Amino acid sequence: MSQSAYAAPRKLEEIVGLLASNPGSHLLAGGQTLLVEPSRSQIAGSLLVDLRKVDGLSGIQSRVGGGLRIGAMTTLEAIAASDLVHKICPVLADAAAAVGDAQVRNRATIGGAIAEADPGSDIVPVLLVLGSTLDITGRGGSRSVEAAEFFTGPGRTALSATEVITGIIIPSAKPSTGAAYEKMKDPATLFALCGVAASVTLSAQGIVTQCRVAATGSTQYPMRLQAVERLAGARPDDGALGAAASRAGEGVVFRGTFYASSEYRAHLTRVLTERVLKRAVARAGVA
Amino acid sequence: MATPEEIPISVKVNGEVYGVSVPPHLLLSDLLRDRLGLTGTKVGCETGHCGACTILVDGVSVKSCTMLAAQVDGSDLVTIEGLSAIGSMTDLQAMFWEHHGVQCGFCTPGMILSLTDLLKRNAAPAEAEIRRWIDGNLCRCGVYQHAVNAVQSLSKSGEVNARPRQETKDTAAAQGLGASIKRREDPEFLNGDAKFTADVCLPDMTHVAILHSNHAHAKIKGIETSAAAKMPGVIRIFTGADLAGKLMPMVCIWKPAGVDSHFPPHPYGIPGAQTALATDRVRYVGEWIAAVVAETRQQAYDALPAIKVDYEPLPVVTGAEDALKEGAPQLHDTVPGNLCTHVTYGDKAAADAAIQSAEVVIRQKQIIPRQIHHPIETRATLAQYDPATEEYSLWTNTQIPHGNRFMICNLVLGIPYNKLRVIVPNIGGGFGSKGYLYQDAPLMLVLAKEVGRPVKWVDTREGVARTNVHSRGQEQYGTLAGNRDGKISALSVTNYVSLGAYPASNGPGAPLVLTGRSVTGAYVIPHPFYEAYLAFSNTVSLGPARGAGRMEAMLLIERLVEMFAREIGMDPAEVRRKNMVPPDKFPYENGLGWTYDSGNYVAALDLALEGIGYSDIPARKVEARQRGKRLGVGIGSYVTIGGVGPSPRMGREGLIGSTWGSAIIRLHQTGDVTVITGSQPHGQGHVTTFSQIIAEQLGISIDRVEVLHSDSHGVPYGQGSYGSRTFSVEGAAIYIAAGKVKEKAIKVGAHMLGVGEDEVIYSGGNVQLKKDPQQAKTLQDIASALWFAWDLPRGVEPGLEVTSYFNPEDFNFPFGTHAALVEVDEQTGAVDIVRYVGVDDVGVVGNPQIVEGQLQGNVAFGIGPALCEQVVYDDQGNLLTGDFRTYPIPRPSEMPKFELSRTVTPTPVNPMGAKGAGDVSEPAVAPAIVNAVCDALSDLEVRHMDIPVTPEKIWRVMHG
Repeated sequence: MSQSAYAAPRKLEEIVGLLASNPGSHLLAGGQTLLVEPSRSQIAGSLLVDLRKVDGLSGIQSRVGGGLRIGAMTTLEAIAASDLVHKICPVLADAAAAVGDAQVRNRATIGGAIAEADPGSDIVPVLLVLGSTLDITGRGGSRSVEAAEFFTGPGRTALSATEVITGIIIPSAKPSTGAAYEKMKDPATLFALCGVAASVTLSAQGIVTQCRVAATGSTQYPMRLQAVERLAGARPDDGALGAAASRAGEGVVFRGTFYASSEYRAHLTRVLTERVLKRAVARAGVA
Repeated sequence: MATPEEIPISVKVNGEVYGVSVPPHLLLSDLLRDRLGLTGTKVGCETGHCGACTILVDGVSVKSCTMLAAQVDGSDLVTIEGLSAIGSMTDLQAMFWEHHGVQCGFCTPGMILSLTDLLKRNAAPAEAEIRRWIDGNLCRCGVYQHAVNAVQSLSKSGEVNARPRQETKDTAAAQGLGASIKRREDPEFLNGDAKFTADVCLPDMTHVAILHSNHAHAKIKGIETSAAAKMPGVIRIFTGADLAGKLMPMVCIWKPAGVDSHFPPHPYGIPGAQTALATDRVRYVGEWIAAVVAETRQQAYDALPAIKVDYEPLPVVTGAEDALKEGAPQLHDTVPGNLCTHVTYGDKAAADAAIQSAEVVIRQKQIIPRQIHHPIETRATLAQYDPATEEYSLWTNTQIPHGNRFMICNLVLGIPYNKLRVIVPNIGGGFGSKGYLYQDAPLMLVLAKEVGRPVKWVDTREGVARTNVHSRGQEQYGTLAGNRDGKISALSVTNYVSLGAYPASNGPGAPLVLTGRSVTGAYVIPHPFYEAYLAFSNTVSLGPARGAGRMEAMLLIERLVEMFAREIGMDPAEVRRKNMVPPDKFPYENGLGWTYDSGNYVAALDLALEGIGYSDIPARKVEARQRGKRLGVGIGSYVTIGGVGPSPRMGREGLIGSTWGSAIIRLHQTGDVTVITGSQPHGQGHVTTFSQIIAEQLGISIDRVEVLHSDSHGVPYGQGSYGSRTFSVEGAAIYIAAGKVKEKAIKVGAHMLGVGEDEVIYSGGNVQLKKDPQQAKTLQDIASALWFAWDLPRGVEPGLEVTSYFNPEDFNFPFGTHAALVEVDEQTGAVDIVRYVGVDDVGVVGNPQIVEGQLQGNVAFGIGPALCEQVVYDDQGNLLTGDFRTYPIPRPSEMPKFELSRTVTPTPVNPMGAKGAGDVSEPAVAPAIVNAVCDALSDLEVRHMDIPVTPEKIWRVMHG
């Protein structure tokens, strides 16, 4: 019997079932990576399991007790344009708006961006610094994974081939927390040549109580810059921020191409780290 | 393995519900174009970069090449065809028309649909938001500013409703030369009805895909096609061996005059080029090896990976200077040492002596990387052969249809000239990349005959990068000498250029003549000298691009002048002023072979400086520094040859061909006029401008004028469009032909009025009595009388048709100065063009708004190579910049508003006083930007930076 290479079931269980019973199949969300070369050639003939008809996977809601829940099929343009996101988590709106171009953002989903874990993703570093959690459903039911545990290496994630990301939880920010994202884009792909996200929480005395920083584009995959995060405990004056940023390359292997060498990307990482730290601190101060 | 089952879908498209079954991996763009016949949706890259395929899905703009047809089951789609009812336009479309938001029209449907989406979200978007929203709609013609103008004019009115198409109601008097009327071409582009080559279909048509070489230099030991031949839908596979005796090698019709030169062989003894399909050896990555003919395009491409080629790799050389070194890998037995030719212009001994005795000598090596034209429409060819009549037909997007016909018939296939018809549908941008005979045209004709069915080939974006000509690509050694008073005394340039592995049809032209004779720029240089070594290396062919040759020349002279000014501590603007050819020196011989026709170079310079606020720069630098930015100003002055050209002169340069203009004007008995031009439009608005020449000369409304072109049936021979030649050469031919129409009309009109010819004049579409203008015969009356032929003056033939060939006495020389203000981020090296001012002089213009569009396009095209565009081959000859993921095209949000103005200095070389415009100011852009960046870094002892001035290069300069 001939078999179709495309399916769009309405129930999540069916999606998971198809993934499980068809090794080598691919989950299709917005398709802005999967349906573009070189991926498209690689998936030729394999089963695509489309999430588009599953109800309840898109939308942005504020959570009781603060923070946001964003459905995995929510498009990046919807996030960039959302009043709710701008109000509660403006850095995520900034990062979504920085992705590609408008027509790509109109199709690309946040769940797809997370699952692809592109080395130049604008979304992933922001999720890392926000301490977000991913809701995942698989054969054995649902689980939650912290973003920090999810991205495990270049192109590697904690998602198994039979699992689906269903939503993203952005926890409510502690008082006096600010976050920022800045990127320098690759002029051809519009992905981040280098991007850095930071989230900083200040105590009533103006001391950094929590600092999370993550880089993208310049690093092998989006990752936290732990040496920079040692800023915690310091008073965030220019000297301290500069010193923290100067540690951005500690223990990190940077990517290099003919357009931008690893040395330059390392430099950009330090520069953007200092900038986002300053902006995050400024936003924390007014919060 | 079983064939995957098709998916039944139901989709509403433009209000109509379709129930279709689709293959599971079929792209939405293919469903629309191939199954539903909605070819207004264009495909330019299939990688989601160019946005030509943008449509609305459930009201949201998306790229249909990155969606599956299966994904729109149950959706509501709007394509360009459905945006407004037939015969009407939305307000947005109407404003695009009004503001000349269309040039070639290929990106137009996608851009219109993107902006339709934006306007639903925000009825009054700011310029920055508009530009950012269309970052995913690449337009290589550079219509962005006009698109912004269109949207902003609309948001002022605040409505987005359909409206009837409104033709211009202007009378002939307001349609003549100098009137910015709307383009007559535009409605079909705005409504998506315009057919490009890929949109043309024939019954029983087959599809072709081409296998490229993956080696830059290798022997082919064998090609195994049997597995591919068994793939679904495959009809036949051709290799070079299958074509033996069926076609000769391609040709190069530029043989440098007066010097030794060496080329690949051709049986006729003229310079040869590559064969359509390689036989025993490949010489660049991308060279064509095999052609698959299949029932569908997808099937043809799917079969390519199944063809196995057994290569024996050979050593590789890519650079020109490297290729000429002792021991370099040799490409052709007929080309010793890979040297095509060595050419010199000017007096070397005099230049050397002047350099020896100068107070100041500037020496600089400059590498200009190759640029890829990347029109958003890829190349495409459809071929048909009729065995009953032995006639071939070819639909292809070439800028030179008649040149293609001539070369194919006489030099490649050896078939009678009258057995091939060449038709050029609309072209989606060329920029020089489509101005050659490529191997596909003769090859597809052969395949059509062999297979016995029409064959169609549509290239991919990767194919464009690998197998279309590249441009630029020079390794220059420049020496400029002068004195401390700011006067330049000598210039000496040695240039190394690779023509690629094989020459393009006109490959040697740009690096020899267009660079070599132009390299003195706008200046009086008493002792200039230029020499060029042209080489063959393992890269794709080199050919001209917008600004051809002159961009490389202007970038060199403008950099040297800048360095000279800094060396002697003089304002670079003042050095230019001191050395520019003064207005009373025309005609001016530049010492390298050009005679500049007319101009006031200093006036344009001063206007540009005033426009950019040159006197305020020091204060602005201080202010910017406080923001962490280094501000710099840069000047790019230029004189660039246009109006190609005088045929004897081109012959002396080595062109095996002619470059005159041709026109036929046919006055019908109704008073309507048909103009047949030898030119070939691909976005420049020929139909509108040529109609305006008729309105001007004959005093009739453009609504009564039709303009025919681009079909070898009916157009005897024409040169096509390139080299900023159309208005000043082909247009001049029409202007002159219209004058001849008037002459005959006066003769007949006077006869009808019963007076002598000296008693009447032709005015406002009438032949009228000088002493009593009320006594008149309209052109329509006269046309009618010529048709009846009942009462004509003695010796006058019936009917009225005039043919004119215009062979200009010389080229024309547009000029101007551009100025860029940039801010360089002190930490990242990122460059922001804050302001861009251009003052251009292209003589007398036809339609100012069309010219403005061309000049805008020149700047947009010039920014890329200055900032980011570059071809990179690795040392094995692999192309590292083979698609839009690796080769950046500047986006609209990265460009400032271009503040352009014109001065008008007529040329004496044609009756309209018109100069070229289409590519002449592009050469100003890179110098203005690079000089500005160097100015921003001037306190760091930066003498020079090669383009593109990427952030990393700048960072390395700033941080040692």
